[in-house]
Amino acid sequence: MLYRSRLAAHLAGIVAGTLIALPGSAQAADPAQQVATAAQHAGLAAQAASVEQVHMHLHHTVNCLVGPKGQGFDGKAGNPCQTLGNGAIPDTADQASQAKLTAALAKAQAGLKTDDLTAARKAATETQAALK
Amino acid sequence: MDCDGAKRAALRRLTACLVVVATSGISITQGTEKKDLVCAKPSALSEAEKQQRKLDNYTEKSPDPSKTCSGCRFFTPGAQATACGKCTIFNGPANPHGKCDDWTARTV
Repeated sequence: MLYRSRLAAHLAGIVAGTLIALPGSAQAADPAQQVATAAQHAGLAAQAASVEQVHMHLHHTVNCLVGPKGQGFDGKAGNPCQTLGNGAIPDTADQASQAKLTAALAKAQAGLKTDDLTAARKAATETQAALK
Repeated sequence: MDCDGAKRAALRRLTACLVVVATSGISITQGTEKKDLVCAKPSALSEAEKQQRKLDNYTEKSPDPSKTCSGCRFFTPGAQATACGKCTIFNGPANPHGKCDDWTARTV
């Protein structure tokens, strides 16, 4: 009897440990938090001092919106939404919200295409506004 | 004379005792001095990783003690609270006492 209870406790420990050790992508998706993080990084991009910094922060915005399997995801740039789900757009079920996020994504990608600091910042500001 | 001799002996013992205490105090202080922890060693980083940290104004020691990597939601602590951790922004090591422009308060 004692052996059984010890075995059960041991197994429970293994299960709990496995759940804690699950990678971020397997965690429950939090699209609202992903959108908030994407907006935060668009804001950082809008205030950045150089076009390289604007691009870096906009990459973070794009990564949060599209997720690791999405088009335009750049893993080398880092993903601030790594533990929050698979991207705000794929994790959003509502079509109207998805369209709004896709429009914001287009603005962020426009900012990534330009090497002009003023234009890139403007695109970042518009991205942030579109995500609010 | 006996009284003077006893006083001198007591004074010598007291002086010796004070010297021992002072010496041990110095060695304890020196023993607890820590070298600054360096987590993102430039020699271990690629040029792209160095560039990303530079663009994000990453520093191994935050100028603001209330805003350090250990309190940032993008930071995963190491095995010990004072050990190097990992940052999701940089995909690599970060100092728990460090900081970058992306610092965001940990909510949990």
